[in-house]
Amino acid sequence: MALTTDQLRNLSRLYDRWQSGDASARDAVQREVYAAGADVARGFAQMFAHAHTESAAPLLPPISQAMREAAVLAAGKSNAGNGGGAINANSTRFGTTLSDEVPSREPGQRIGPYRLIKELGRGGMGVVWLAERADGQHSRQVALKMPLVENLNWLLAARFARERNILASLEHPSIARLYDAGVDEKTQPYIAIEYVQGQPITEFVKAKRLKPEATAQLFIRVIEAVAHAHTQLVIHRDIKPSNILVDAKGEPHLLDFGIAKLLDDEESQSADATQLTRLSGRALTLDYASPEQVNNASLGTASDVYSLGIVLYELLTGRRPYNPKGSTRRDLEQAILDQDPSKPSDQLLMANTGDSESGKSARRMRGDLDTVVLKALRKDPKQRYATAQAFADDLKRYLAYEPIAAKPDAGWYRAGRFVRRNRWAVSTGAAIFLLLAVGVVVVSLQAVRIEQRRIEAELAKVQALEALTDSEASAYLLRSVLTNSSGATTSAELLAAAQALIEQLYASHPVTRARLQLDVADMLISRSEFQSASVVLEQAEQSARQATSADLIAKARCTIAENNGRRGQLTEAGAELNRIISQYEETIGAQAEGLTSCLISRAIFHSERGSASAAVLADASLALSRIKPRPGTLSTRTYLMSLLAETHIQSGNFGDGILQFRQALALLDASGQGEVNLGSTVRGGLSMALSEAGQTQEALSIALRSFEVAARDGRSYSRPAVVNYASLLRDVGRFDESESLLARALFDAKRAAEPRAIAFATVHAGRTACAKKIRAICTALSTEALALLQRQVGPRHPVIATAMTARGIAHLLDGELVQAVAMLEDAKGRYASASGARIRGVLAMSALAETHASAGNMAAARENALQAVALAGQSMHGFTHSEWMGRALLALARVELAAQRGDVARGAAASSVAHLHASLGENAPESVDALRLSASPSRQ
Amino acid sequence: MSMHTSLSPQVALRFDPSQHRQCMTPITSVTELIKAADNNVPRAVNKLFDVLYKDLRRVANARLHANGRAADMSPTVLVHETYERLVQLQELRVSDRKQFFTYASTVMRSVIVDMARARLADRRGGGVADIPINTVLEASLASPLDDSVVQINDALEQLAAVEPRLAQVVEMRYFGGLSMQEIAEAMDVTERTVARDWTKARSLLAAMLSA
Repeated sequence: MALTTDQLRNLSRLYDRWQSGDASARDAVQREVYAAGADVARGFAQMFAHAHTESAAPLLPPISQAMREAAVLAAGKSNAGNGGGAINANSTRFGTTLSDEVPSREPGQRIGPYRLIKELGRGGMGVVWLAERADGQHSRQVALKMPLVENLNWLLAARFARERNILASLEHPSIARLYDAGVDEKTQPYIAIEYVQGQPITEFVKAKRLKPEATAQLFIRVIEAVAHAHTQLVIHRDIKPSNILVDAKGEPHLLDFGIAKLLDDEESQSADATQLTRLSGRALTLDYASPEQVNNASLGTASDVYSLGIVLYELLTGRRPYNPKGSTRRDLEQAILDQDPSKPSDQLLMANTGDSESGKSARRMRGDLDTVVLKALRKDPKQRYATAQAFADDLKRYLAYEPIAAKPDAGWYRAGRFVRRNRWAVSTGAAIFLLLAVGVVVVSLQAVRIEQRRIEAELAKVQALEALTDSEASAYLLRSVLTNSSGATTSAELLAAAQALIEQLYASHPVTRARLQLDVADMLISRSEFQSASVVLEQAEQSARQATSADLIAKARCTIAENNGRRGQLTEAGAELNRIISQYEETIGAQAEGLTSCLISRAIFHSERGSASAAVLADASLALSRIKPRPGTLSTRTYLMSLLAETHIQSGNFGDGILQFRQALALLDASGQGEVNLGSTVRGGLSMALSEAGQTQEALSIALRSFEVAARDGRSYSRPAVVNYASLLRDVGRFDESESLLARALFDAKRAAEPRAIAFATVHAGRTACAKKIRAICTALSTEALALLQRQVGPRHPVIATAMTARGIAHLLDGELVQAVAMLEDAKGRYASASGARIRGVLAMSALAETHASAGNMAAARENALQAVALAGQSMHGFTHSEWMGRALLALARVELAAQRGDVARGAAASSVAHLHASLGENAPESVDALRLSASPSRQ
Repeated sequence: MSMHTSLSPQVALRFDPSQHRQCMTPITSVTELIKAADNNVPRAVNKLFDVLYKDLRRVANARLHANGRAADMSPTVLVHETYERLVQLQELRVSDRKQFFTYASTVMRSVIVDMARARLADRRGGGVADIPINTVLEASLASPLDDSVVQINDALEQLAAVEPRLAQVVEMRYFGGLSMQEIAEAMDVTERTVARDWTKARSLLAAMLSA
């Protein structure tokens, strides 16, 4: 319990060293603290948790209060009833306490390099002074913020530095710049921020009588400032009008990242949570707080989106959205949690009946602007805009009279898109992730297919509309679905409504009916509703027969067979497809659309069964050759190319697979489609194939494009495209970038509560830590990754081998050689039996070679290194250089050097250098090491 | 060997003051006592303690009943008021101010800790029946303070064994209510050193009190 005198002496010594030391000395202190055991570590943490907390819960009670009470009691005993009870408890509030010294400030006083000019404000968080550099370095004035509560808990000290750096990196014209931060000689932390003179945005909008459009225009810039912070992994958490100042030029400035926090920061999250709890009584403005803030739940970017929504609401209507029952804090909390805000336009009408100006404004807002604001204000963070950027984008669409994204359920066309997007995120994303996590090149066929189907469905719809004699009718269909299905909120209901309308409207137009029914079936298939799809497909076949269109009948029948194949009727489905195809080859012309469609169906059927790659290749190639190369068929052609590429790669033919992917990508790029989702997916496949073939740098440059698209669209970083990119960054030695992306991926995965994505992000974050040789994190994450994976993938999944390799390397770093060998041997065995990931065995073998060499077991070390070289040699895939060969040769060189065979080592290293330079670049740690070994002097 | 020869007078003062309290020595001038204590004259420390102890309590009680309500009861006020009083009574020379503050802080600490201990004892069975009800209520509400004060006192004992100078700074600042400047003067160091010591002492106390 209590500290011993020796422990106290130790703490005193550690304190001095910590205070006087530089960063490396502090690292050493931290290590010693750990080594000194739990009592000392806890004590050390407490020293910094409390000592620098100037006004928080007093460390020790005000002594005068204790005294007064003691004296009262003494007096009461000797002198009962002598007014002893009439003591004003408040009189001692400012008594001396051990944690006192809320410093008084005055103009002219110096804080670090700054001289105070005048106080600008104070609050629960601290005081802000106008200040200038005292050393004449700059003449500019700054707002010098001196927090009373600061994250100086030593456990967070390193993170504090990082947070400061990240805040410093928030360079955005609408974010007040952070110039400087530090701690002065009296341990007062300070932050110097750009001094902004302006008025709160609410006052500005009111004074200028801005119209809704102009207000939205102005506010977009505020949202984008917040979005910028979000891309830097910073959330603001205290967005309110007084933190958004508009200067004389009309430029908005976002201020006060005082309680901002890093998104990916587990430790600071808990610390922040306590801080927030503590502050919620005073600092946090409840008026703009999100439901999750009220609930003290963990906060993500969606919380900022919500607060932005409230501010926008207030700007548009002059009021905040809730009408709490009473005036207490509790009432407002209740309203935030329970009340649905009324539409801004209604609010405006209610507030100002009869005012023609506000009536006009209300009309301007009604519809899309209402929808946008209310989407930002959803109670469930997941239902809000996923990012601040998405919020800004929708406002821009509103201003440009484009359809906004905030109405996923408003129309059938969008309903389909929305569902597909979800499905992509939920199931396909997870599937690719699984493959990608080991870097296995089983390209995301499913992803390509679904994206493909989406585009096909859109194109088919356009074609269907083109083919219609009565185009008025199709427009009427869409309008009808949109307007008559207002009660339908889910896409399933919309689809049902659409089906009913198709039958009703096109009873006498069987061609149109058949096409539209095939579209609906496609949507159902993409939602894995194979049962419902088969019902619609039956109807489509009937419609096609009524239309006596052989093409449409073939299309319907083949899609039925394909769909039955998914429903488990494999033999019948295969036979049926064969029958239809041979039948129509005879009866329908060679150019027939239906036949092509059937060939594609059969290719998909075989591909999904995971067998008969020759059949897939034949059908897909034939279908590809039958399709006319015109813009309308672009997506079908690239889809087939991706299918071919994947089939090649699955059968180990990387050369042809990569070639096919390159062609698909070239085709998309040439038609300006390279940046859309399909392009991203193809790029992802190509990147993974190249990585698997050891062409790391090229894989990286391609992955970068995918990543940029994902980042630009504000998608979750737990997506495969991002994790793949981060993984490749690590491979080429760009550890810091890799680390921060994976931290973000992990955060996004946790926020979305996707256990599988969490597991994979953990695997990769661990690998990066291991590559950086950060022992503790490497050990922690690789251990955690293995535990998480056990619940997410089957025992034979290759990602387990990857996690085991990382764990083995962690053992090696920890000097636990026996455990390292056991773990790595296990990984090696698993890789050998994982068909898609065999090449990754090089990693396990290299690590084994290193482990055995450290243990002095040169024979075993050499054997493993040679096995790695042999494996890499079998997997060159027609390339002259590969990362795998480079790594294998480097492992061999290290073993030989340890075995004092300098000449052999230098030779292996020299060969390795060529491979590594070509695949990883000259700056990768492996490249540098190989070059060093190749030039090492002989040890005679 | 007398403990007074081996320890600084400030530390020696801290040893069980109750022993010395009964010593009914005729009042000697405080200045003389300080000088004697500084020169390690036997029993001078005890006498000095006794005198100061009584004086500080007297001032505390007097303040408590001023106008029927408590005025400021901070150690700062009590120590300074006692100082003024002793100077006025010519018990103390102004030039002994520095030494006086040092001793007074130590004694003040005893005063405070004794009061807290007494109250803790009372709470565990003392007669409180004749105390106005709101006083009892107030006292019982704030009772954790007494535990804290006693704990701080104990922690300070331990700190004194490891870092005597830090312990003295805490004693003067927390129990004696002295300003940084006064402490710096009394200890003959710079204010910055005192500030640094104070920060470190608080850190170490935080570690000890939360252990």
